[in-house]
Amino acid sequence: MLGEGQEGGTPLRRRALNFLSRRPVIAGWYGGVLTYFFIFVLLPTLFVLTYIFTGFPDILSLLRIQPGALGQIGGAVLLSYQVAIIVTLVDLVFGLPLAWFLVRRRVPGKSFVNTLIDLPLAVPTAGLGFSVALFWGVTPFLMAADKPFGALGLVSTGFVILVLLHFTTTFPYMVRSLAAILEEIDIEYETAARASGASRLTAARTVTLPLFRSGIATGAILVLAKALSDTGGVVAALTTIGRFSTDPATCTASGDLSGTALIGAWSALRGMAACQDVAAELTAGLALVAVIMIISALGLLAVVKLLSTRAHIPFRRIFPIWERRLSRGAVPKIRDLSSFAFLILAVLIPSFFLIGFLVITAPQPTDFGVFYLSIALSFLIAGIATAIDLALGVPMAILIVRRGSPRVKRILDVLVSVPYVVPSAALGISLFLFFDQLRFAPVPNLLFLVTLAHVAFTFPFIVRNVVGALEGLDPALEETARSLGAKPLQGFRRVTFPLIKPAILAGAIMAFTRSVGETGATLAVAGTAIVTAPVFIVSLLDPANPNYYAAALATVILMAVSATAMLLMRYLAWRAR
Amino acid sequence: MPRIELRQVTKRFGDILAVDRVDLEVAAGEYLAILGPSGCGKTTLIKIIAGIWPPTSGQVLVDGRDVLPIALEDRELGYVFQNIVLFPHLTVKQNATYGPWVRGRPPQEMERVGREVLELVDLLNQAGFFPGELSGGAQQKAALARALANQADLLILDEPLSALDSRVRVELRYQLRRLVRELGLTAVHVTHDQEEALSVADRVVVMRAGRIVEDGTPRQLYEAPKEIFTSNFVGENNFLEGVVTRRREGLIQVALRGEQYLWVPDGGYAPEDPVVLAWRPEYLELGRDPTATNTLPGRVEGEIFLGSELRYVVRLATGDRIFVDLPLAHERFKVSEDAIVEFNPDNMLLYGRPYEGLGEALKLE
Repeated sequence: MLGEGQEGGTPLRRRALNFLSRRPVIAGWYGGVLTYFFIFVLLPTLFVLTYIFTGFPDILSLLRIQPGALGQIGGAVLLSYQVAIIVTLVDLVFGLPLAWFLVRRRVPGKSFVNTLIDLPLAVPTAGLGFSVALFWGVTPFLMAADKPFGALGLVSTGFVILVLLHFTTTFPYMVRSLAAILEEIDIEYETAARASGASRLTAARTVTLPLFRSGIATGAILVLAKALSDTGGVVAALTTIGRFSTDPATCTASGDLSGTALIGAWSALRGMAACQDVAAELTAGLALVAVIMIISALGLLAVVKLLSTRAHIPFRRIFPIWERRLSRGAVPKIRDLSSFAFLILAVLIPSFFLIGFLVITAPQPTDFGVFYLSIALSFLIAGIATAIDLALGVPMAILIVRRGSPRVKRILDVLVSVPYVVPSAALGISLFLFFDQLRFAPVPNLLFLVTLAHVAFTFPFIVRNVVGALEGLDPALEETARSLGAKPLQGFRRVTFPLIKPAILAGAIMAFTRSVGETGATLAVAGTAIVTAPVFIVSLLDPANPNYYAAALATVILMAVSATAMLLMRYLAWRAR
Repeated sequence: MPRIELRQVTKRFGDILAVDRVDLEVAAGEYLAILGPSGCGKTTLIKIIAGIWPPTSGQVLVDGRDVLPIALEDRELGYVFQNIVLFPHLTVKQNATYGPWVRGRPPQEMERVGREVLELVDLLNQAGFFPGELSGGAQQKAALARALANQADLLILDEPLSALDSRVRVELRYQLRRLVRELGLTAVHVTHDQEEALSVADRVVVMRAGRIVEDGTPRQLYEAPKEIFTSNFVGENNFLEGVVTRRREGLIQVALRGEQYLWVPDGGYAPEDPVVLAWRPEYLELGRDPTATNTLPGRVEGEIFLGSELRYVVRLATGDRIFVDLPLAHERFKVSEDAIVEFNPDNMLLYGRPYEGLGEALKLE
């Protein structure tokens, strides 16, 4: 009765509350969420798989006009995987000590380092790709006078620049996810091991690491997926070092193309007037890349999951004297220092190198109207996508954690993760094909399609975060509220919601920034017809007519806006706690 | 067997003084219990002894040698944790042989030590189980086996029994004492449970707010606690506050509230001294004869069945509410019945009234 007295100020409000809390209404809501998830997220994601059969003539036609296409696709996908796997391993090597340091040590300035690590996440990857390439790469289209001070000019191959780029884009994710799970492992395990005579290194590898393997798997999957799916950064970096070009005359792409770079290139060509004759063939090629990438990403996910459950303690033999020596004195210091050096050299400097470039380079004439419009468009799409994510993702998470049998729960849990690991560019192609085949009349607005695509790949961020928070929450809390007379909706609003608010906010931040930074899915769905900020940045790097000044300016402005938004959200999340 | 000595050990966490200039000695082969309410700094103290945390200042000596520079893994000790912390991914046997394993001992020796310690705690038949498959008591036994497998002469027990059911607790208490005795270990055992401390240890140290209040054998602490805090924290007590009015032939007359008087042995107090008289509930007697000496009138307010005894809640004429524990065979009283409480001076504890007030002096923090 107390709850009603407080909540139901007016009879109308109370009646609305009663109505919304009724079983059929709640069931309907959940049903709607599930329906949306299957029809607009899961189905389009996997739809492309059917294309192999329906689009077979187009594929054959592609092979006839571009005999090298199959080899190009194979090479591109292989390059993607080589880069992703190397990046994941190196990230693990440097990320583990850093995560350890951030969680286990009490040092002043730790929260500063924490924020610093997150900052590159706020930068759209297209901007990062440009920045990384400027720092490390040979830049053939940049005039000597504009070469920024400190630029290394070392790298001229696509493979190396992509590895370096993905350190920048993935390392924060690795450190974040490792730290989050390390936080959950009771430090007493390490103490107990050491009290039994294990040195720090021995304790870490025999006790903490085995307990930690799901965390390592999560981090690895996240990084693999991110490295495989990035398009904007890849295209920007390759373009800047001159290893990416499209030829509208022959409607072909060349350079050191990775899977997503190929998607980016063919998507752009497909949108060009000169290539309308071969649009169907390009679409077939895109579908083929998408299918290969989706299937191999799912396979990789399964392999990593399997490895993480099957893995045992590496080297059962113990070398007490050596491990003790490695646990003390200079070695841990060198280890910590080198992971910090990695953070600074491979992540922070390349991310923010652009700012220096902007200061010294001479301004070029820029169409600011298009630029501001592109930023506004990016934020509009990200905002709508995040709002839809929230409305659907939170109930979905509740559904996964609180309802249904454990098996249903596990299946839903895996299904939600599918868009997570599928490269977003492939997802975009799939969505495009899906709606193209449905032949809506009139053909749905491209903006609407792009937004749908953004919902599809950002949706898991909210669900995953909220599922995590809900699992840590005692259901007795809400049951107590119900026993005191709160309606289900009230119980949620007054008890559960305040407790999971930080997780929801964190998920919203991730979804929003991810959407703002996304290039591949936008290109795949709409070609260059919808110019979001990252698409705009990529277009400015075009070797035919480069405007590096504007690209840098756009990136820095976007960086500042996103960083501010992120810090603000972080502050709100902190206050909500 | 190691002898431990702490000198002026202090530990600060920011503004909080967790351990405040503690001096303590543990003799070789002694079973010492550190007893105190939660938050008194006893766990901090034991972690400093073990080398898990460094003290802010002070010295820790083992056999006269400063051990502070020695890292935790190089200290020779076994440590049993309150929340057990068995490694969940290892079997009971692998847990028990963890110490020999990480020290690089040969497999035959690991096998032998594992067998020995599991036999000691009677867990051989569950050696292949994972910790999650064991009961709480068996888990703590396995943790004890892991600590013993270090084959150190010093055993440190951090609230080892608090996470367990009361039955299991009593059983393990007995086993602990037996093992420490048989293996000839020096043991330091931290607990907030006074019954556990009294039953398991040779000597008990009582701590409060980061400082040692008192130490002594379990009997000394129960029968003749020097500090009023100990008299209340170890066992239970009824307190009557009063002022000495007269002194004659080794006796003093104490004026209580409600113009009630008692004659008790003087204990060195003179007229006008404020004092506190204390009797344990089981030392009081309840009767109906108003002419008996050393009595105060009261009224029974309630009774509580304790199993072996019956506890009467009595409101005295002084206004104090006290507990009187009587055997079941004793003559019965009804609730709201008037009764006479006999205060036998032989069983009395006498303290000067603490300057901070009685309630403050008994407070647990």
